[in-house]
Amino acid sequence: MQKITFIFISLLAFILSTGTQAQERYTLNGKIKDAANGEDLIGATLTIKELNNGVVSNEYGFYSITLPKGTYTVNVSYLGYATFEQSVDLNANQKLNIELSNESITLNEAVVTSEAANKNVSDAQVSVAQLDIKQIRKIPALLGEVDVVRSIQLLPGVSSVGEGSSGFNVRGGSIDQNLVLLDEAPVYNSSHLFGFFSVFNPDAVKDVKLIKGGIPAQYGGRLSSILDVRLKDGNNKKLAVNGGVGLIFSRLSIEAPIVKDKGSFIIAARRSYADVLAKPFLKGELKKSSFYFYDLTAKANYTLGKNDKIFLSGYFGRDVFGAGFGFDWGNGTASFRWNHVYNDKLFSNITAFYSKYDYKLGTKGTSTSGDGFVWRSSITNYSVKPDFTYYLNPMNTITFGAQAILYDFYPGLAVATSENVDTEISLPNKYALEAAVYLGDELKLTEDFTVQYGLRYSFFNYMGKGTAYTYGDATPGIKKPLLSEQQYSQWDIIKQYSNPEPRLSVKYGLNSASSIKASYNRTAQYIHLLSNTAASIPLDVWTPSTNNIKPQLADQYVLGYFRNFGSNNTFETSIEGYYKNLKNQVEYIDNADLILNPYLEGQLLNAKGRAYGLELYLKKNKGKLTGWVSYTLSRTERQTAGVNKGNWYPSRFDRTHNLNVVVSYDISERWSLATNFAFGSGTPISLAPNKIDYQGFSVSQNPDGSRNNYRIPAYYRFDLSATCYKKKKQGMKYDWNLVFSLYNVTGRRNAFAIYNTASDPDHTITAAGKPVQISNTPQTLKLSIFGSVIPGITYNFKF
Amino acid sequence: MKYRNIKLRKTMKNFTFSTYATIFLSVIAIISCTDPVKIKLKEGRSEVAVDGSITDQSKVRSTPLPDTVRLTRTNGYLSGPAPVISNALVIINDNMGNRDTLQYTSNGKYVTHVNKITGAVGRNYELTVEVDGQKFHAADLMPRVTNVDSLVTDYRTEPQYGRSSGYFINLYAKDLVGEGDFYRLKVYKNGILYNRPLDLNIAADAGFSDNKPIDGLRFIWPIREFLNPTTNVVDPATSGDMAPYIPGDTVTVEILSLSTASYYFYTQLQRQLLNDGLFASPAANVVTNITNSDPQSSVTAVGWFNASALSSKSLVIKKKD
Repeated sequence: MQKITFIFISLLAFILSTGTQAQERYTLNGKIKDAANGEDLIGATLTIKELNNGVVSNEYGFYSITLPKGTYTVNVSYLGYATFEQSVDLNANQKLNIELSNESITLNEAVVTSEAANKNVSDAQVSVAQLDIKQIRKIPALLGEVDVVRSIQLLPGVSSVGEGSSGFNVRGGSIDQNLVLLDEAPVYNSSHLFGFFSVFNPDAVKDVKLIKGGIPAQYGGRLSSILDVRLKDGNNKKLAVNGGVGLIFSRLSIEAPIVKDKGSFIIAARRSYADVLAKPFLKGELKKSSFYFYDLTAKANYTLGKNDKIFLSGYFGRDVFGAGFGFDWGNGTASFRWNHVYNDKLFSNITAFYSKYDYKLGTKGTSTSGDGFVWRSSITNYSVKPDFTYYLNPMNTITFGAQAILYDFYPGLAVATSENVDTEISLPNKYALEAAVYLGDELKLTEDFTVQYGLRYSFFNYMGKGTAYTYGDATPGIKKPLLSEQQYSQWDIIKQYSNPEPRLSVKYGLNSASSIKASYNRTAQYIHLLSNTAASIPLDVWTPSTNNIKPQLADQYVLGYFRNFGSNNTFETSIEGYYKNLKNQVEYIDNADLILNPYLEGQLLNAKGRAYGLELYLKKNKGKLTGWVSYTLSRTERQTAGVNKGNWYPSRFDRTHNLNVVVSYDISERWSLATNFAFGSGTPISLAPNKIDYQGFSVSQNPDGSRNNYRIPAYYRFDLSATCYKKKKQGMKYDWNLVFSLYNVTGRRNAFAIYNTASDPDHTITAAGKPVQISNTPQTLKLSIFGSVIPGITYNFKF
Repeated sequence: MKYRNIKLRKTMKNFTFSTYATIFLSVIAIISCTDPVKIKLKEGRSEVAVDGSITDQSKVRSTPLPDTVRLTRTNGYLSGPAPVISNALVIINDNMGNRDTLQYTSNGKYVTHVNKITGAVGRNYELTVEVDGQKFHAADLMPRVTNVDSLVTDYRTEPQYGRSSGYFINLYAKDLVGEGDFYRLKVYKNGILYNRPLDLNIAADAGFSDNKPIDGLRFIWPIREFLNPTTNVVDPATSGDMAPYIPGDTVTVEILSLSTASYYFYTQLQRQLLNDGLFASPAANVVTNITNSDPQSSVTAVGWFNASALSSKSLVIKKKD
């Protein structure tokens, strides 16, 4: 660690020395936007042709570059947009706002060819995938509904336990190790309907970026990845309406200027209606049942003069299930951001956000009985996060900032009512403060050699009011005995942690079309999702690090080779290898009881983890045929005393091979086809070979006590979709398309799990025709989430 | 292929989850399904399996019934009936000096002599099993049990709690005052025990969990509700004897006391028997209180021996006027 700190300081000294060499330099800065709707373009590449030097626009479309006095050709490119080129006479600091026009999608007319940027090769950032919402829309989707989280699962290094599981696993990390950000506010449960859809309404999403490795210093708080979802700002030129009608839900979004070219808003809403459609088919009490989700996404922005812009974003969504016994859960987020340009070189964004996830389940029983059971739980947090980017000189871009997050964990309040007498089963709230400061620099040492390095220093304070429990040692794998409890009053420090988190990425360009990159990063995570099930359930409880639960730590090493082919970087390819070392992973004793348990910390185990893999990626960005092939070879394992006799075992989401092929083809102006093929090795599960005959039950028994000893059959799936577009006519505002999709074309029953269970009742029938005995015949079952092909049709419109 | 059966889940978690997840899946015509599979998994080492208990049942029965210890060997999960052990020496003794060598009957069952040993609240019981030169021990304390105050017919005109309308039962029984009473509730219809994994009904005081006891109250609603047949909510017509009771049925409810250790055993048993589907936790072995007197021996035993006090009440379902 000291060595890293030394390198860091040396590099910092180097920057300061390079800064003084400048003579008669001027800064060109401004914003890069979409000409049609005024949206800021994230990650557009601005190149100074004469110097073969450039800069990439940030999350707010801002760029800044400082150059010696002179006349330059400024070239701006962004995938799917016509390239912008302009000559600039730089003899003073200058502001240049650039608007890019959509590349014509008409195939027969002369097309303004835009050059795909070779950003994937030239950027120092490794292990990153940026998906434009337009690309996401081309992927065949379940029930024809495009989805952000399902789309990123097709990228190398990303997988899930199976269909119907919430969240996703990145490079052998568990689902709580992904920081999912919606306009900078974290989302704690990114799923609707148990993971079939994510909370992100595609009509409101502008840009999705997934960072799997070489995580820059500005991000922290989770071990494995950052999923940075940015919402559209809203059209600031004219009113625009987008919508869709599908089999499962409908969408509508409205965006319009508040003041033309100064401010705009977008409001997008969705609601599922499977319950309404199903009502005629339900019997008995189920007629009264409800099961649906809805969400509302809204955002507004306003430009205050030349140097300031403010944004207000919010999300609110809920899933509701119930039939006598109700269950609902959802997220709410709100973020306020203020962009300020201090001077030509210093850009800042200050975010304040609020985020909450909560669920409730229970029944009030019948009105007459006075009986019931209600249970609530939530996690709430508030945060302030100032971030600064200082475009010091063409060689150095410095980022620095800080963050403070106040957490309020509400593990559960259950009220059991028996004959009108309420008994409260309440677990006290837990409070914590997480804070971090960071400093990073992107240093372009030579044209070919770029170093991105930084240090994040994070602190965590588990504080009162609350109760700290001390547990004794026990045989590993057995519930630890409670030794003592200690009460703390408000703001008292119960336990503190801090961690330096060094980050480093190095890029060496071999030529304009290929480069080698390497990175190391340490990440620390102070909050944990306690989940002992194959698929995470909305009832899973988040908990802070405490005196018993240590912060999770990860060290990741990445080495990659990036190469583009074709005259216009038509093909992007990469090969990346990673090794990840995980510490303080949360594991559970056998038969752990995590629900409403104040003493659950006595049932947790501290595990080590390791994950390694190789990722191959081939992507074609341009032409009638676009798409990608991704392949991952990987292993992820855990080890702790008390599980699997202390030996390493594969984690539940370990997939040896994972292949995804996504292809879309534009046949004509009016039709396009898309297909997706997914293959994944079977994931491991625990399956007992033996049984105990006990009281008429067949109880699974594994004499070795081995964990994840059996692999379920491999997964494969083939999807197809066809999209019909409206005939292009001049001057017609109304536009539509119709998406036909077939998901799981072969109807393969992919196994989600294999388990031992008793069969449905078997009766021994007597002569009188009455059953005399109920037996439980043991059987091994394969559970498939999708048992057949799933057709879908969606009508999308905009005007 | 069998479409996934909708089940009422015993634990709160499973109760809500599997049920509604499956309802959702079936209504959008995405039918999740289960297929029985034959898998290649090497059969593990065989162990001695003990299924034994001693009760104070003689106090509630007109003619005392013997208590039973059943001995088998574990075998492959799909390998058919477990081989029985018929050559063991089985002894139960208590801390009052009573001792009985159990009599082998058939099918691995060893029964007590009612005049030699019977259960009584507050006594410690020890089981000794000698088989093939290995000696196994288990012990349990018989805790107190609460009484069934009454059992009444609950006629429902409307479907409720995922069940159809019809005849059900409602239990009036209160947990004993003082934390740390554990119970297993059993239901018999016309003398047949409801003995599906879903029928395992375990209470910690008047509630579910010993972590936060609900003490001294009437058993809370879900526990009472689970005394009613576990109904197939999707299609009650096909659910056979899981349908409501019918007038004339004799329904008997038994409450058995459990020691703390036995309570943990039963909660694990329940968890593992119902641990399936999308939200299953890793399959794990259920705890055992059967130990080999030679800890170094490679021959191990599994299963449970418990001492339970019992109370009971019966009801004949009467047709509604």
